[in-house]
Amino acid sequence: MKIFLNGDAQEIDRTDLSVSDIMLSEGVKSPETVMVQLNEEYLPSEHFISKKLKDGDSIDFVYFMGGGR
Amino acid sequence: MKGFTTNAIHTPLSHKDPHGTLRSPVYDNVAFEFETAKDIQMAFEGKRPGHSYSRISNPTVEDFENRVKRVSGANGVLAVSSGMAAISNLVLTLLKSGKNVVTSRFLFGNTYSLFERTLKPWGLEVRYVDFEKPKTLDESIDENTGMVFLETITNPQLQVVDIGAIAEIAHRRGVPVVADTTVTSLYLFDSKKFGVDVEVLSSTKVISGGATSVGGLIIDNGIFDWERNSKLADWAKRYGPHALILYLRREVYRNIGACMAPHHAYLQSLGLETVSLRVERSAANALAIAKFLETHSKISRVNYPGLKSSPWHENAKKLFPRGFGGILCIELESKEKCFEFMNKLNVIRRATNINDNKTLVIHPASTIFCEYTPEERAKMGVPDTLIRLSVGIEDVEDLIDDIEKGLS
Repeated sequence: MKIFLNGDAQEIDRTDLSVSDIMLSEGVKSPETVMVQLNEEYLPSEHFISKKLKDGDSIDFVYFMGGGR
Repeated sequence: MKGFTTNAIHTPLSHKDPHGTLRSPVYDNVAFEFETAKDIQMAFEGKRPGHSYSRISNPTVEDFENRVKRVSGANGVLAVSSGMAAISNLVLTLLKSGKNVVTSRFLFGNTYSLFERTLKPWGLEVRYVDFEKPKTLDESIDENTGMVFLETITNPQLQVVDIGAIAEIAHRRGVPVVADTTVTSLYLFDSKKFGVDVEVLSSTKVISGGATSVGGLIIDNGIFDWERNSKLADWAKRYGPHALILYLRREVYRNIGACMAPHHAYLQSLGLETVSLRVERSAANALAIAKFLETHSKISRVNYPGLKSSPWHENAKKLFPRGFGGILCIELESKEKCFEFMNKLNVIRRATNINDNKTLVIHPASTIFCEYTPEERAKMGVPDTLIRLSVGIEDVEDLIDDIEKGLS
């Protein structure tokens, strides 16, 4: 399937990929330091493991560039 | 969750330091370099971590913000250049022309001036209510109300209202409660417990370690659903509970430019570590002085929330179980008597600030509130006969001795 990661198109050869899997593959070491948008909407961190990506999904990692996250 | 002071001291650094330092260095620089053009683009878009420019974010300021977040248990924290910068940034974020703020006339003089003189010409409406009459608050809120604004202990009236009851009304009407918590800075008041959505405060006071540097904080407790605010609704869809702080960081705060200096953030991180010790000492000193003054024949009135004679003592006991703060007010016969008393003091300093390590005295009517007419000052609860003492951490016997000589 094709997803858009931070605006860049990526072909993925899996169908059961979770948000958490993508974070791992992108080297996001600590999920609390990043905010996730799925299709331009906020995704609460409790859904990172359960939420599976589907073809055409757009996922963005947003960093605060500052403290007090 | 560990205690306030343990957290203040042991909040880990965001990144491991190459030298293993236990304290964040002062990154007193402006710009940060990136490996590639793509990296800097992604940093600007917020899609990779990294500071780009110190007006927007800085590692030393970040460390201070993280410490404040840890001690307060907040959802998000933004450090700014002063307490007034915190208020003005927040008002510009939550409100716009045609919107209104519901507040009390018992406001810090510069906050009143910001509302009345700076923001009214831009179309902000300010509605003054008596927070002790919840019905007037309920009646004043309408579909254009963007915030209810209050001070935890008003300065210098030292009024303490039932903040929980106010929050209940505001939330029922879909309006966030913003509290200026400068007088009870972080340690004395658990704002989340009483329904405060956002704290704004001057960290220049107790947090700076005793007037070492100017600074301010905006603290989002994560209670309010920002989709209910018309300016933040779209941001809330995209950023959820982080909408307020992100909107500030990416627009209002960035564009206004009232950032905290890295050196100030360093000093304020140091100060934060000893807040509990200094606040407890100052509150104990203030209570002892208030009790002494209550029995003095030359004093017309002593006002301190820790005294049973304060009309707001019961509210204060409920809201501030760790102490009643370091500010007390007294009234003498006349303005001349006030000046005479102030001029006789030797240990206590004539200066405008609160929660310094030093005890300070000021005549509010002729200084902080000098731009207002006597009639306006009367409505604001600032008579000519009032003196404000901000009690520090000196030996209390020396302070009482100084006051006694001043009154003789």
